[in-house]
Amino acid sequence: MEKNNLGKVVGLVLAVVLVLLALYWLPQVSVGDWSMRKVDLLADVRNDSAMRQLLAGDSTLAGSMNGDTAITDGYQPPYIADSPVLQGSRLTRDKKGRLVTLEDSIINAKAEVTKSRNGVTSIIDMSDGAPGGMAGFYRALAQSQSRPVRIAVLGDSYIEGDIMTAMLRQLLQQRFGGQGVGYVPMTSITAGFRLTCKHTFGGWTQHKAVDRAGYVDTYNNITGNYFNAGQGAWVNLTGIGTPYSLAGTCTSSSFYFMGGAGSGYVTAVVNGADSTYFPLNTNSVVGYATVHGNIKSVKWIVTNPGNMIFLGTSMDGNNGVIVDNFSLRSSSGQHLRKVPANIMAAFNQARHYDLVIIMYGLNIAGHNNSAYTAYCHTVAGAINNIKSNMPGTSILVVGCSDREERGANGWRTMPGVLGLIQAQKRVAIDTHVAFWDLYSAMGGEGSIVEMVQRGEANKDYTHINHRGGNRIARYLYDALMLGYENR
Amino acid sequence: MDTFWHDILSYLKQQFGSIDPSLLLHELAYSEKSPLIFSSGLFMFMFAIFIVIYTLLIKKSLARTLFVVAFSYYFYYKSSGFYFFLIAIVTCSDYIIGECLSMTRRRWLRKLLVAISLAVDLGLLGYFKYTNFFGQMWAELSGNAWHNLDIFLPVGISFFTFQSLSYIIDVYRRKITPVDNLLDYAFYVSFFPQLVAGPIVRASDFLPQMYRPVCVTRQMLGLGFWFVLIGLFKKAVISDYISINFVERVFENPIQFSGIENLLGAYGYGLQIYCDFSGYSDMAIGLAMLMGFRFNINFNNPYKAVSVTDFWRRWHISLSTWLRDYLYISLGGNRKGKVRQYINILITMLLGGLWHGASLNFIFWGGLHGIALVVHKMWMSITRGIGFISSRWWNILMTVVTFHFVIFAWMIFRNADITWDGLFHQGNWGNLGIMLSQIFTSLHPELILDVIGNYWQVFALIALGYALHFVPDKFSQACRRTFVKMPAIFYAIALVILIVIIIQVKTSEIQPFIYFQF
Repeated sequence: MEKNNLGKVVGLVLAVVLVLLALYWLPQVSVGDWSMRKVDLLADVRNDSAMRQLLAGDSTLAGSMNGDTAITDGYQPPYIADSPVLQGSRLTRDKKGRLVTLEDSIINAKAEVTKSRNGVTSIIDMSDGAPGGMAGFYRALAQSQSRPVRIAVLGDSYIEGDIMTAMLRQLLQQRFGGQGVGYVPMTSITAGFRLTCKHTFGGWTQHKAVDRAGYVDTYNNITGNYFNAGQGAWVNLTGIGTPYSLAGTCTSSSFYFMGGAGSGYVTAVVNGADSTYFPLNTNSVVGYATVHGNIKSVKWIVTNPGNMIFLGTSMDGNNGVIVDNFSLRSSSGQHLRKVPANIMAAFNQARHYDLVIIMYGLNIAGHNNSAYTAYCHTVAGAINNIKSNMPGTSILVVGCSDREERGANGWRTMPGVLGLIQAQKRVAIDTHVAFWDLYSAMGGEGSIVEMVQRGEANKDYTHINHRGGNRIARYLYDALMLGYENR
Repeated sequence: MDTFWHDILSYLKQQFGSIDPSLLLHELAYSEKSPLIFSSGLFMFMFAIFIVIYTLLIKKSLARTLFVVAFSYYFYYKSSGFYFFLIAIVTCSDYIIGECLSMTRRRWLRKLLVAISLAVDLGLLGYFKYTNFFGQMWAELSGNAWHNLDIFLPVGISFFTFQSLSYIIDVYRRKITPVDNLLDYAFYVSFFPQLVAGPIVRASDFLPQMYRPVCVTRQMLGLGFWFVLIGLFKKAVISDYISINFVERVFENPIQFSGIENLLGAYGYGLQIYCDFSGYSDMAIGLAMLMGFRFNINFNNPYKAVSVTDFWRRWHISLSTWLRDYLYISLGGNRKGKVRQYINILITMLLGGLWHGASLNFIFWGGLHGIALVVHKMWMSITRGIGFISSRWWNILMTVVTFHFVIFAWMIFRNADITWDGLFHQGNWGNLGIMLSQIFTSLHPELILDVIGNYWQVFALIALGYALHFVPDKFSQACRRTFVKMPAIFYAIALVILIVIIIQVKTSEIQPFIYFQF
């Protein structure tokens, strides 16, 4: 019989384990940017791992965060009740007892501190009651029985395919009434991904604000898209009804185009049967045609479009809340600053927005805490453009969401994200509009990692999916309702 | 001298003092999120302790068997908690049925006994794995409501039930004689290397080895380390890295990626699933070999297949042969005419698909492979009829075609969001539809250099993985022979180096997400 080598197996396995244990004491090796990770086989049972503290939601860590700012310290927190209180610069004390302006303390507040007692991250209104703050929107909500209240959500790939807005719309429509998915551009690369309606189309040429060429500033509008049509170009919206029940049907559908006198016309086919014809001309900069009825599906077909510019279509209710999702992949909202005043005003005349939510940032948040001066300038320009051409509309800046990277000590929020959130708060303060800290609402550091583990976010540790969107929508809805109740 | 020891002691205290006993206990207890997998540090420690005791008990057969069974049950407990009792149920019932089978010659009674075994094993498998799936299907067809039951899916239940069934059917077919006692049978069913993820080891292959004295030959020592190394490399370096940094992202949200990224993601997934699955099998084979057991290989360079039939001779061989011997042949195989043979193939592959998981995508995947196997069978009878002889170039072309068919089928396999309702009422193919439409209508091939340049680490690994897969068999066998002939200490050095590399890869910064499709 051949010699048994079982003893050698034991020797070799033990040797491997011992050598690997010994490697723990190897000095850190670095070559250029790359540094060798520590070989620590016992990392999981050591008590000093920073990752463990993060994952376990270490209470001392959270405690130090809470104590980090003087806002909780004697001062009635101005934002808990979402009331417009910022009048000039108030002084407060930071945790080291230094006097700082209230603005600075808000800007420097870390995750969690903007949470009220019931866990809702409040909206911080910096308008002092002036137009642009949340008051106008809350007044409109109170009248939602008699007129439609519209919300425009301007964002990037984070919300494309109606992610987040689908649930926000559903929640608001459940409480305040309303139907339909709101505005939908003629075409969308994420049409197949939408759960709120079946969106099909044909014959359009898309021009996007993020394209380097082919997007003409004279047609620039807040949607960031416009379209040319071929003969017979069409778009069809059909309500689905599950899981977002209220988006399934509507009482009116509109078709939006840029004004001018053309010889063409557009046909609306409602529920596959009734056809209505509308001439494609209007005196306004933004023209539209509207059909009414109990609409489950609507198809708009263009005849003789010529060189006219087209925008999108919609499914709306006569009253209650309408939420329009304007997502533009890879955008940071730069195009908003340059939307011509007459187009911005005309679009608002056509759809009239009570609240504009500005939700960008992921495409600008870099790896490190770089200066966001240029970006702030752009966003401030965009907000001022909206303010002057959509007078009375409330504006809410939503801070950048958690985006994480993996380093030697595990997952952490990209430092650039934290810097960006501070910059976004600064913009909201400077332009006197409202701010909502999405990062804080999600749960701060580690939250996107948890969402990935729960199947609510993608493994790029950046984007959320529909399930994650539903969660975030509830956070935002809770914040809006807290403000509404305390208006 | 005293100070020297004092220094050493204080140093050790400083380094190990941070170990928290409560965390240690926590690590050793069952946790749904951290099953004991071969590529984890914890398993390495446990295996080191295990192999020492195993060796000490080399001459004490009963004690060794008891110890291995106890360790295997603990191994299972770490992955599935108290559900280890399921293994005990399967073990006891099939042991008793096996004994009964050996005691009777009456045909009806023997058939009844096999039926009872099938009912118990498949009943457990069905309840834990398929209840909610069939409940939902019934609800959709009948229009009733179905509320999902909160059923835990015990790890590896598909493997150990199939393994135990092979024993009963072989005893019934009189291919093997029953085991001597319950403990031996428990050893076979629970043997930890293949317990949770295969290969499905046949009783006829395993039992004879159990009754021989434990012996690790010099060749087995080398091969054991070889398989562990290859398996670790495939699983913990290639598969884990490309999945987290590229492939998973594409499959999770394909609409965010251009057609070319979707296509590369699909190729990447083909490599990922192969490396993940075969890597784990390789480690199981290697570990068993270090304990003195030889398993058959489970994967044989499947993407080299020149046809789908060939693919199934190379992919998850222990499952495909199991299905062939116990399902396909039981259905009648090719003994009842061509039409029945085709139907048998389709049934076998549909059930084989369902075995992989309780959702539609797996059934479609199995069905598609079944259809391909039938088409290939028909093609073979036509080409045989006209005397077609395949040339080298023809075989290369067929390898490319087969590879792409398999990749396409993997896209179905991976996309679990396919529903009846979506398919037949909404024309919605879920992410699969999105991926295909991205690939065929929005490919953007001009982005390929940008994509590869920005994710170069990922694509370097994918290229390396496929290159290693397609090297000629002669070359890889020569490498293996050379490795086995190396001095034993070399195995340990290679393993240490690989583990250090794995630690670097595991904690490396993930590649940030980049848009290419503007």
